[in-house]
Amino acid sequence: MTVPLRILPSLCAAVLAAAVAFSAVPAAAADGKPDPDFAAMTKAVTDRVIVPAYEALASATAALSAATRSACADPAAAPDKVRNVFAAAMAAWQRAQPISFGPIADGSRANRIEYWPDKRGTGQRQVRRALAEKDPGLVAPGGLDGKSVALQGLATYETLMFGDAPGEYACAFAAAIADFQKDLAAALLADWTKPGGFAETMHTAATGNAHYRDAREAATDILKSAAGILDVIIQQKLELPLGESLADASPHKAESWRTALSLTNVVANLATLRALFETKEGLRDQLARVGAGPLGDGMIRSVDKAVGLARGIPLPLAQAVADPAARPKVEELLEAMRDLRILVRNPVADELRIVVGFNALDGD
Amino acid sequence: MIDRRTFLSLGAAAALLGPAATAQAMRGRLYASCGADRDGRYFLGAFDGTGEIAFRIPLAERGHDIAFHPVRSEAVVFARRPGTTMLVVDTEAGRTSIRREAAPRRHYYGHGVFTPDGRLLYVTENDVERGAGAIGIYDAADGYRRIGEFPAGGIGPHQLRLMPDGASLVIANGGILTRPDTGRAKLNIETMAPSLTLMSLQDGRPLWRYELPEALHKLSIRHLDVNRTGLIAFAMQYEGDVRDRVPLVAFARAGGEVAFAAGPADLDRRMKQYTGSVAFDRSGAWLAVSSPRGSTVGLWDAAHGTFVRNLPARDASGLAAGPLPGTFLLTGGDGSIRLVSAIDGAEAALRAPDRAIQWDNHLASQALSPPA
Repeated sequence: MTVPLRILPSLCAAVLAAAVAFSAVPAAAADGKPDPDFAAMTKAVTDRVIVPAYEALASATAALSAATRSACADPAAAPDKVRNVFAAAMAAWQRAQPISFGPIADGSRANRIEYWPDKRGTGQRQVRRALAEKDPGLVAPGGLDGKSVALQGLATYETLMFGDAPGEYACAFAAAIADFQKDLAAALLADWTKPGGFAETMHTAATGNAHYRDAREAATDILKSAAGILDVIIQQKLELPLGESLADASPHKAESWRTALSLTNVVANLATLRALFETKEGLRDQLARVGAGPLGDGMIRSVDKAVGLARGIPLPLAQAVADPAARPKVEELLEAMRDLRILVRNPVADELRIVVGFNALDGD
Repeated sequence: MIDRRTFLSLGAAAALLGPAATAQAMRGRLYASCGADRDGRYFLGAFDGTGEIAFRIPLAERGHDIAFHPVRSEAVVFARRPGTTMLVVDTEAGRTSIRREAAPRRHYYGHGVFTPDGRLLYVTENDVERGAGAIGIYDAADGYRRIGEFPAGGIGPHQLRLMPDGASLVIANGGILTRPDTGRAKLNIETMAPSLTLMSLQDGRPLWRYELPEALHKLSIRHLDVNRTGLIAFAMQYEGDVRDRVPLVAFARAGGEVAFAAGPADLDRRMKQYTGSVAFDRSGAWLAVSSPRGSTVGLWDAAHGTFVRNLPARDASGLAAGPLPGTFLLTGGDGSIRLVSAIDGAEAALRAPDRAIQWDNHLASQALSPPA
């Protein structure tokens, strides 16, 4: 990126300075400071943030399924009829997207909900091939099960419905995707809420279970989710379309560019990040418990500021990155995201004595 | 010149050599690790045995391991799974000289190894269509052209090493199936079957194969090292229940016994069932294994098969043989570079933790010729 390295905005700088001054080495527990209540945090985030996010996803995708089926009676008019319902389903997904652990991590379900970015264009190729072949089996009930993730998700729905005007087959394909998404979201919700489901795993983490030795490990997954969504926003949602320079901007590398929802998506991601901090017994309360209350408050203000920056971009992201006047505002948002990432990965993690390591996150 | 404190902290190892020889040993060796800066931008960093940075090269995708050419001033950086680029770096000029894309429907796993003469480079690859591991063969004398391949003998080949006979390769087949269109998602945990395979360099023929007992089939064999006597040490990552008790490190002789490494009863818990890098020291008598999740490094006396000690190390990642026998260089996700001695647990900070740098999984080293 050509965005110059810049000093952290004053708010972040103040938060950072305060945090560094009090920061504890994670291994050294015997400093007399109270421990965070990871059991309370895990339970609160599960019940007040995660499960509601999957409930909303289940109902929004059910609405998309019903609306698409009925709209496909007249494929030419379908895009306008489903536009708002699609936006609502996408927003629900974007709110659930930061949650990177639990049932979503099984069988690459996040990719099945939204296969994006499609860096090598393999997804687009598969969609074109499917549209050319017009296999009736693909759009029949259950026809998408076990197919490539590139054919199953909301990004493909967007291409089919809001790209070239959909014909009968493309509309039926989109409806099949909506059905698939409805079933997938229902399964995700059930996997969280059923007896013995992942909500129970989170609730019982403090006493140890098959997934977690203790509540700290569950809390670590929560903090990794916060750090992870910032990586996704920075590297995929902003840096990809921005490119290295104005001349190098790639509007079509923006997420959801066909529906101009790119920035709405980022705002939805940030709403969940904020909720992880703001919910009672969430990250802010735990930071307060270890004597780092100002850091928690500062995080929430920083998220709010970033949301303000995203809302202040006067054009859809795909156009803004290539517009000399609007582009600096996108770069400003990117910088705010980088500042947030530094805060989450360093002082927040340090204060809570959680290792959100670069390598600890890995798997290689 | 190394300072007195660093020299003293090298303990017994340095005492054998004296300060001047120690300093020369530390300068005369180039190390390299991939990393990320505070904005998440990836790079390759190279430094000498004193931790002094020699160069940094930006990388377009996250790197994994590095293989130093045994003769030329050259190193090859492999993209992290499922990456598709391999960069050849001129280590004298500190810049990229060749960029190679993976063959169609192939991606790299992140590791590779040269033949002792430096003519050929062997690289672990995924044959996506067949869901099978392959070893790609590249001709270093011809711009790293891909000239052939042979089967890895398992799914998900990861790290590989040349055996001291120079005629065979030992490969850690992690056993985990992934596909590019589902990124890093693990598709076969219930049926995974990790293995260690020994393949002939002459014709790619399997010479020996080791599979873990059925009860341990979720224990992914990912990283390994071989010492001069042909002793293989491999380190594993567990995909099963967190309450299971599992071995994480083992010693093997090709065609012979495999023994899980002795250690404290709670070592698997301390390491959170997950190991990162494994390395013998330059004498081959000591072994180090890092656990980034457990933020610890385990040290073994490989000659006797006994556990020596744990060293705490935040987000411990890369390990390479240090300049002196019994020593290791250790990098961390916290930006630190440390020199540690397995012999007496002494250590010296070559680079303090630094938020501007996150060192990635692996550290590779090259022996440099002494200055004229």
